[in-house]
Amino acid sequence: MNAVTPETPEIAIRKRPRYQLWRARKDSIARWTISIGGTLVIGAIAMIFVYLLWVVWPLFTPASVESRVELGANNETAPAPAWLALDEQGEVVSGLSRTGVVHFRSAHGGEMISSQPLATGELEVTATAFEAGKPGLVAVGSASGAVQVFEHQYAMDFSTGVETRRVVPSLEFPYGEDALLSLQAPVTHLAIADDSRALLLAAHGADGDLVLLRAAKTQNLLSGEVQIDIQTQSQGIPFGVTALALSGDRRWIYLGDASGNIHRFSSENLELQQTIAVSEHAISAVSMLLGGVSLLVGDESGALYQAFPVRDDQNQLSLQAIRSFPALQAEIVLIQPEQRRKGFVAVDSSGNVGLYHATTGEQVLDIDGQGPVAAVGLSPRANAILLAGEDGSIALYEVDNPHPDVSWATLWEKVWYENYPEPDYVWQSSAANTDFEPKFSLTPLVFGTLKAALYAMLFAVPLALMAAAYTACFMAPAVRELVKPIIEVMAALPTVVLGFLAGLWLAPFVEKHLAGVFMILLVLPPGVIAFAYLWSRHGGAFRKRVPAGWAPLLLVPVVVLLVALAMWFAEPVQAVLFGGDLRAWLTREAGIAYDQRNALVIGCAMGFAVIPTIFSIAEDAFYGVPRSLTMGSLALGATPWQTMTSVILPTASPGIFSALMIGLGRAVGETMIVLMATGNTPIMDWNLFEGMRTLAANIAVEMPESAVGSSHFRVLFLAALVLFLFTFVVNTGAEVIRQRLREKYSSL
Amino acid sequence: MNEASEIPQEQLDLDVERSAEKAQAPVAVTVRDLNLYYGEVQALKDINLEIREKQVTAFIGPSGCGKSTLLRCFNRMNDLIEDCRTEGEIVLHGSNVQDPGIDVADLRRRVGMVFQKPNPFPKSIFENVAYGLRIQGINKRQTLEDAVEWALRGAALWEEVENRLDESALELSGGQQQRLVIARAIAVQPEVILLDEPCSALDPISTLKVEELINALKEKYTIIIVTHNMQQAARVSDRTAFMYLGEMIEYGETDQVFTNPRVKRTEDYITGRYG
Repeated sequence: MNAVTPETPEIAIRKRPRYQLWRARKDSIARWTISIGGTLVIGAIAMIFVYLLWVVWPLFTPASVESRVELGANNETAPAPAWLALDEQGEVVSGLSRTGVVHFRSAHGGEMISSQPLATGELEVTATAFEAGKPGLVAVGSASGAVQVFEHQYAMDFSTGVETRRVVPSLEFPYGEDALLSLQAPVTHLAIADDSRALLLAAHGADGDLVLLRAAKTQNLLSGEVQIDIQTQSQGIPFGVTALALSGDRRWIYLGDASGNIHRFSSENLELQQTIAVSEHAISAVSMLLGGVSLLVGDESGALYQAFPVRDDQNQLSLQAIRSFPALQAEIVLIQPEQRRKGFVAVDSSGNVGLYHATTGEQVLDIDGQGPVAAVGLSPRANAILLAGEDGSIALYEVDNPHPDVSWATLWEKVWYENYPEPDYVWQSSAANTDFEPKFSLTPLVFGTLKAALYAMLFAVPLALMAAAYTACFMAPAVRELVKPIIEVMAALPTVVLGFLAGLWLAPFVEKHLAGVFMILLVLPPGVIAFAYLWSRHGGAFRKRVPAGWAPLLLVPVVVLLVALAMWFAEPVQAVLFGGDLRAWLTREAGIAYDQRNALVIGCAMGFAVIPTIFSIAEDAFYGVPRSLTMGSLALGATPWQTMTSVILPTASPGIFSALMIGLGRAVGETMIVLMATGNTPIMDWNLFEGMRTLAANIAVEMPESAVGSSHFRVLFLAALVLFLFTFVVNTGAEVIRQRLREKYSSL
Repeated sequence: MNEASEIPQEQLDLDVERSAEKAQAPVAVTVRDLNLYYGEVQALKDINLEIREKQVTAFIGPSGCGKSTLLRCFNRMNDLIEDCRTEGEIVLHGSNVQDPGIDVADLRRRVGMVFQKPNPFPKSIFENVAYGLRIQGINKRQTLEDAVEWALRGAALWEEVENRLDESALELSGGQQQRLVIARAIAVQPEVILLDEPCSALDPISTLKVEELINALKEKYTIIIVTHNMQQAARVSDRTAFMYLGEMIEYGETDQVFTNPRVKRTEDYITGRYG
């Protein structure tokens, strides 16, 4: 066989235009796919942000009047009505003329539907009253001193079909058509409070007498028949009464006088309990807010105040002026509460109408009544206002005011809520009754989020960073290859499992063995260090038997032993130092409250969830420090520890910083663990032994029960937005700092 | 042809005088029966060597011959390698470096080392040079400033960096970085400086500067250099050791090793028959 000199093989490298075209195309496809993918990710995040903002935005848009419709005069003979109301559907306007006739008219065109006189004879209406929570029941006082109570009702008539359904108004007299009360003089002021047990009517006459009627209702259990038992009391009031109101619980009568004081009388015995100066001017109008707790006070100068009973140090209730509202220009003549929210309307004598919300303390809307206003009617949904002028003309205002109850101040600042002893940050979005005051303070939730994250980081950061430093810099490679994946697998554990364990196993365990848990914290670190010292100094012959680098695994039995010892010793130590029960001792002696689901449990459970994240990234950072730097430092005579602190740590700092920030982001956004093991109590307390409620858990807990589009719903979205912004800012800040650090330590 | 015959007589006399001087220089490091194993593989075999004070000793040999391994024995950097085991002894100024009880950190301060690739720390130029002193607990500003200036002058870098001491060392060029690293090494005033192929990552101009520096430094320090570049060994060293497959083949005056090697294998290597 001849020796063949190898020839240049025939590879047509330059003759494959098709392949080159395909290659170029593949490259451009890849480039486009990656660009589009990246843009889509950024777009998706931007869309989430925009969507959250879009849902939250209406919370901060001001209220507005959408339309104004003139309905024409109520009655030719007595032009100005004494009382006005609108039905639920906003279709029927009910008005009470000064002559005592109730007119029902269409809210669309003003046509009369029906009318009915309250009494057979002539009547001159001088005072009317109704209760915010029960606006159907109206008390009417007349110049003759008679007080009558009627109820306006609206029935649906579907007899002509669903599309043409009509609202049929009617009058009822649940307490009889006759006058319930007869004063000696014309009724000047009137107030009513009614519930299933009793009716309370307070009337003040022109002669200065205050008359109180109590109609106790007793229901016969067998027949269901209600028996009404009426009692009246009367007392002369020594000062000129300018305004009158009854508290919703029927315990107090509030009287305003011409020198700006509010007098609180007991309804039991008509005794004066308290007098407080609310204003410097004469009180001109008062009204109870929905719920019957807060008293709204308007004075001659146009100023508006809110007052409610607060428990003092002696556990006695005393009326206290809480806040004032932006004033109107002239004397307040009317205050009417909303029927479903803590809002109200105030009217001054020159026809300025203000819409307010009590919790926020703000005026949400300002309407020009176009001349003095005789009566105001609010629709039950507070989306329409009726204003009647002195000339009898009625105007219907459609109002868009969906979220008066949320403002920057109520979200982030202390607010003095009804029945609270002082201003506070409170989150309480719902309650058993319908007339409660929603409390939307995000502060305790942000606080809870930070508290949970802080305790989790406190637990996780030292462990994760030290583990990362040891694994990367000192551990034998064979062991490292085993340890690193195992810790990273911890991250794959579903947080719901962690939360379950934390809430149902760890929390009761910690509660039962609190002393043992603290004993472990005290004993474990020194124990491990002592063992390591003994091993390195006195390991002797035994050391040679352990394969190089595997010695750390010997710590496993040591840790188990130390934990067992700590648990065992905890009982006698607790018996000697803490009277047998550390938990009880904490509560009794140190005054520290203890919840079963507390920050300690969360710190451990969420710390456990955060450790793999921090460990993994930090370990990579430590491991990525060029070996040449380590060698350089060691070759200069530095000890391994000096090398670690002055070369490896600074060089790895960008990565470590990232690890901490990503860990923090994880802890802040974590939901399942905090949901299951914090107790979800929105309190603000750094106490290690008390729970918290985080933004994320709050959203998870309340979103299913919030009505779409309600203030509550939007505030939850706001919480999500805050969470989003927080993680966004933290991550962006972290990235900026990381880039800076990386620039500083680049080109290695 | 006898090369010596072409050299003038006075020059020869001077050389003889100098060699005599060199031969008389006291011994700084003595290596006795040194054997080193990576696991089961023997990397160094029965090395015996005397390194003289204030001279430059070069280790040459093909890749993998064990010259860098031998260099790392002097400051026990081999400890950092898994499964590395040594026998025999290395005596530095009377104390055995291989003694397990010795303070390794202090040994490494006494025996400075410069690596193949410049490895400045991600700190300022000043802090790089001051690092060795700081880890010795010296933190007085004035002392550090004096020492840094002295070390940078010693490493012929002072003029270039005088006004930018606070800038990051990573902004220096490769050659400057290598001189910075040498300055860092001499700042702690070592007895011996180990140079592990210090110029292999540098351009010719930088190499020249470092070589000039090595020449200047031998006034004060005992220098051991590992190099692939035989011209460099010939230019900078007083003595040369040729190693091959873990064995010390020939060790002697540089002139003699390069001009008149006693062993055939040395001659083959020097003349480029294998590399």
